[in-house]
Amino acid sequence: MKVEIHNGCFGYRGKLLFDHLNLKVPENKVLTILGANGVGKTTLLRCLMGFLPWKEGETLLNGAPFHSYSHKEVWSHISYVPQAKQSSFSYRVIDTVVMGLNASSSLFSTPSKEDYEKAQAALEWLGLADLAERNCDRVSGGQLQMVLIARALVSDPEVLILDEPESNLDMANQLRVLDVIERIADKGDTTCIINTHFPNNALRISDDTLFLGSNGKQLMGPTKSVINEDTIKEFYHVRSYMVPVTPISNKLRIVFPYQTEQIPAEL
Amino acid sequence: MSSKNKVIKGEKAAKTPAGQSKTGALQSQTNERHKHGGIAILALLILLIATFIFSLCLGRYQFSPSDIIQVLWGTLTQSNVDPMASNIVFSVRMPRILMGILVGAALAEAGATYQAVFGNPLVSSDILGVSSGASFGATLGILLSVGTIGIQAWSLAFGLIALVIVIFLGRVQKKTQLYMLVLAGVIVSSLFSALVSLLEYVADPYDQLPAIVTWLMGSLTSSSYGDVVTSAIIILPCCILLWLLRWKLNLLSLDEEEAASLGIDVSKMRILVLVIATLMTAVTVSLCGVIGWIGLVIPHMCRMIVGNDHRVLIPSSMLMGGAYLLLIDDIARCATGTEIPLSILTAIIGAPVFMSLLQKTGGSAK
Repeated sequence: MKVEIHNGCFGYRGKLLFDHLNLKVPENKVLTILGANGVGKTTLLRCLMGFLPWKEGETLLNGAPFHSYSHKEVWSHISYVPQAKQSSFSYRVIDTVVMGLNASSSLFSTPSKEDYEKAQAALEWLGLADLAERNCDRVSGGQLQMVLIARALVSDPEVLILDEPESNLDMANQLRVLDVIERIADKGDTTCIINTHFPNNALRISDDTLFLGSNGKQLMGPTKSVINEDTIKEFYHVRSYMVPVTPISNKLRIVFPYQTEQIPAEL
Repeated sequence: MSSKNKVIKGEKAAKTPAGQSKTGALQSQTNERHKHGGIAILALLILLIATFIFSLCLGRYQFSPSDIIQVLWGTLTQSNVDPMASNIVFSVRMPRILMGILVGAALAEAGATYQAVFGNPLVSSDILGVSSGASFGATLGILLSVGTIGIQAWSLAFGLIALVIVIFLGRVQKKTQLYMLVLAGVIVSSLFSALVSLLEYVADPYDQLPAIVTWLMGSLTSSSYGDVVTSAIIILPCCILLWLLRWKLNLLSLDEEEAASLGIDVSKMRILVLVIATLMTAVTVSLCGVIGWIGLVIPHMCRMIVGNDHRVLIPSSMLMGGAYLLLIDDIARCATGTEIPLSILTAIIGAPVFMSLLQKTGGSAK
C-alpha cells in the first residue's frame, strides 16, 4: 500500500511543527524518519495515523484520503507498533499477539482457534514461540518490543508503522529488531514507516529517509544519499564523518559523530 | 582477550541447554493455563451455589442444607413439601437472596468494567463518585415520590453526570491521570453526599427521612420478588452485554492509541461500556442503596486468581461478587439481633484490602 502525506500542517500553541509537509512512501518500501528530540517525529506518526487531526492537508492511502476509509478498514491494512512499555493490566504473550487480529473481527466475537494458530505462527516467525504462555509483565523490554511487533504482523499488514522500535534496547536486542525489519522488507509485501534516533540504523534498513528539523524544516531523499556529513550537521548540529565499514560490505557506510556544534539560540 | 572470549562463549554454551529445558516446561503449561480459567469459573460457580444453599439455611429458623435441597427439589418436581419450610424459603428468604446475588454480581462486574476502561485496578463505581451521584438521584426520586422506575431513571441520570464530571476533571493534557481520577472521584463524591444531606435536611422527618437513611446505608431487607424482577430486567441484559464484550475489554484496557490501532473505535466503545456499567450501578443503588467496595475488591481478588484476561475475569467477578454479597448479607441479618447495614460490613472488609492494594501499586497504575 502506498502512503502519502499531502501538504500536512500541524503545530502546538502557535509553534509550527510541520509546514506543508509532503511525503510519499512507495508501495513495499521502507521509510525512516530522523530528527533531533522534540522535532515531532512521534507527532508526525500520530497525525499520519489520524490520532491527531491535520490542521491542513491530509494522509492518503493508495491515493484515497484517509477519512474515506472506515476505522476498521484503515486498521485492517495498517499495523502500528508503539514503544514498548508495561501496561497496568498485562496479558499472556499469545493473548497479546492475538489482539492484532481484532480489526477483522465482529463486535461480540472472541478469537478462534485459527486466530491462536496465526498468533503462534507469528511468534514462531520471530523466534518467540517459547514465550507464548508467559505473561507480558514477565518478559524483558526487548522481548516485549518483539511481542508488539508480532502483534502487528499477525494480521499481515500492508503498512507497518514503528515508533522508535529500537530505542531503550541493548545492542543485541537492537540488532534483533533491525533484523526483523530487514526480513519484513525482504518479503516485499509491506510498506514500513519507522521513526528512529539512529542514522546508522536508517542506513542499514531503509530505502528513503525523511529528516525533520525545527520550525517545519524537512528534507527527504534516498537514505544512502540523504544521510551525509552535511545533513547530520544541519539536523543534529553534530559534526561527523561518514565511515566505510569495509569488513562487512564495500557499500555500507556509517555515521561516526565526534563533536557537537553550538545549538542555535531559537532551540 | 582471547581467553576472556572463550570464557564468555563457554558460559553461553552452558546456558543454552538450560534455556531449552525451560522451554519444554513452559509448553507443558499451555494446556494447564487454558484449563485454569475454566476450573476457576467452575469452582466459583460451585461456591456461589453452596453459598446460596447455606444462606437459605440461615435465619431465625435454622434448616440443614439437606432440608433446603429437599424443599427446592420438591418444589421443582411439584411433590409435597412442608408448607412452613416452603413459606420461609420462598417468601421470606428467597427474594432477598436472589437480590443479593444480582446486586453483588452487578457491582463486581461494573467494577471490573470501570477498571478495564480506565486501564487501572484502583477504580470502581464508588471511588469514581458514580455511586454518590446515583444515590443523590435516587434520594431526589424518593423525595419527589416518582415511583420505582422514576427513581431508577433519576439515579442513572445523576450517576452519569457524576461520571462525566469525574472523567472531565481527570483528564490532564489529554491523558487520563490516575491520581486526578481518584481525586476527582473524592470531590464529586463529597459534593453529592453534601447534596444528599441537604435533601435529608428538607425531607419529612417522620416519613421520608427514616426511609432515606436506612436505604442509603445499604440494605437488602425490603427486597421483594417485584424488586428482583425490576432489577433483573435491567441488570441481566447489561451483564450479558458486558460478557459478550469481554474480549473487547482486554483491548480497551490498553493505551488509547494502541487500542485504536488495533481497530477499536475507542471513544464509542468506552461510552457504550461506561453507560452499561453505570446503568447497572444506578439500578443497584436505587434499589438497595450504596453498597461500597464490592466493585473494587472483588475484581481485584479475581485478578489475583485468574489473571487479567477479561474473558475469564468478567464471569469470575460476577460469580464471586454474588457469593460475596450473599455472605456479607448473611452476616448482616444473622450476626446480631438487629440488621447491620451492608455498607458498614463491606467497608470494614474492603477498606483494608484497598489499603494493601494502594501500598502494593504505590498509588499508581504502572
